[in-house]
Amino acid sequence: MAAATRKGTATPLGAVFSPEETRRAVARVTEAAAGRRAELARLQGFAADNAALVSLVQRLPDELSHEIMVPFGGAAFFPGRLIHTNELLVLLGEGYYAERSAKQTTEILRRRGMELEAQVEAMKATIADFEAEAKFFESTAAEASEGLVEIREEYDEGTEINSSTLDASSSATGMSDKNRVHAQIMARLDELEMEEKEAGSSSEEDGEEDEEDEEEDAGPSEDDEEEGDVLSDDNDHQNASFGASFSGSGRNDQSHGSAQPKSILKKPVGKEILKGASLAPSARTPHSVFPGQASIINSEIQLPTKKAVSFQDDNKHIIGSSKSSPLPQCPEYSSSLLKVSSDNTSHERKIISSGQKQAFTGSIIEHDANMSTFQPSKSEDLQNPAISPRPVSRFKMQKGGR
Amino acid sequence: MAASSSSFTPAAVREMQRDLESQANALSKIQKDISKNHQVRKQYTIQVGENELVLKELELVNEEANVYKLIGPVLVKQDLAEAKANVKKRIEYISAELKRMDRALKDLEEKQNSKKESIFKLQQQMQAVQAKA
Repeated sequence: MAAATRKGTATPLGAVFSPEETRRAVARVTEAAAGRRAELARLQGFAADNAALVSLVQRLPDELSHEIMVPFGGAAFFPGRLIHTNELLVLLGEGYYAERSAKQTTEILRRRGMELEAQVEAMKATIADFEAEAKFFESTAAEASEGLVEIREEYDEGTEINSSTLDASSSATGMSDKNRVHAQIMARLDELEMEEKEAGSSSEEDGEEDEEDEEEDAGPSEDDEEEGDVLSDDNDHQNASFGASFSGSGRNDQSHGSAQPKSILKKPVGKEILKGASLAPSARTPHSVFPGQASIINSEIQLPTKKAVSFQDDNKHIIGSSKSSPLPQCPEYSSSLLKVSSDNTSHERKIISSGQKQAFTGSIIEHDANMSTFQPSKSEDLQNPAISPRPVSRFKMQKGGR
Repeated sequence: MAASSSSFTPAAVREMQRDLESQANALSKIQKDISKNHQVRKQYTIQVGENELVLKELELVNEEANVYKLIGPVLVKQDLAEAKANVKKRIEYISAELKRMDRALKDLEEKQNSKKESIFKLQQQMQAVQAKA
């Protein structure tokens, strides 16, 4: 993770979060969690008592009178009888008692039991929070003690275009592996784009042909477009919500309709996309997806996106292309993307959907021509490998796929 | 404190230290008050919850039922309407108390913050003085 060619600062994580302090924080949090756990045990004891009481009260009115041994003083009993078995004086709280029958008493106890349950649940939730915090601190402490170094480098758009520096940049930002892959894919896509631009019309023709094929495969999806609108409303949904929202439109396994692009465009966080991609069931697609998705998403999301503009255009196309090959605007790039995506017709487009809040506000509209063939493919978004089968395939062809 | 960084005399320094100490004491007192406030607030919150539960049950009791109140070791029969009214008043009183405590807490927190700031400034001055000295 060394910053090779650029200036930057490398700060050992241990300096920012000293391992000692972090461990102390962990201890503090675990203490608090332990306290809460004791409370939880108490509440659960109450709940158990309550349940026992309910069963007892229900048995009382079975007999007119019960024969029992009555406690007398500290250590003596005498035989006696329990009468008026249906009349109970129930404590309501705050020193108030009410005379109630057995049935009414069980009602009261049941209500009290529900309150206790609610409190128990709340306690469990707080404990879970504490545990999560402790785990996080623990991991930070471990990292810090290992000498993890946080490296920051300045972003220089000019040099960024050279994919060779991708690794450095990605590591510089201290991104996770996924992001690095993302960045790498993005770089490759950049190269691809440049190549396509050089290719020019030839790619356009290819792309269009693919698009047409895809459109036929995709099938009608006008309704999906509406879904796409719905998706766009879910801008802030994370991957989890992707699954949810997308599964809704699961009917179109292969629908890569307009909905996708919209959702993709509007979904935030490229990282999420990657995760979504990894979640995607299709085996082969995840890799192929990455290039298309990652690049697109990256372009969308990352601030220093080199080719934000071009990517945006591509995204628009890509989104449309998934099956229906929209390509109106960047035929060159999108066509390649489309080709790639053709391989992954069944891929979810999660990635696209997850990423992009920023870039696409009106882009979807531009794809109207191709949008008709789009299908909401919400489920597909998950995978998003298929932003545009073409591009991915092309990418694969050229780069051997990922 | 008017002690400027140009006062190097040990007397001035000592005075600053004393000042710092007193401010630190005041701060710790404020913090203790805040924690006490929290305790009382928690207590009140529990009580208000319990009272609301009681009120709910009282609503469900039908008119003829007998309601008793435990006063010391004596269970005294109470009128249902009267009991309900009492509980309601109790709830209102406790809620008002809670609100008052909230306001007091906010004041205390503000005071705490300002104290912290003044202490910090004082510390900076001290450091400047000691650096020069």
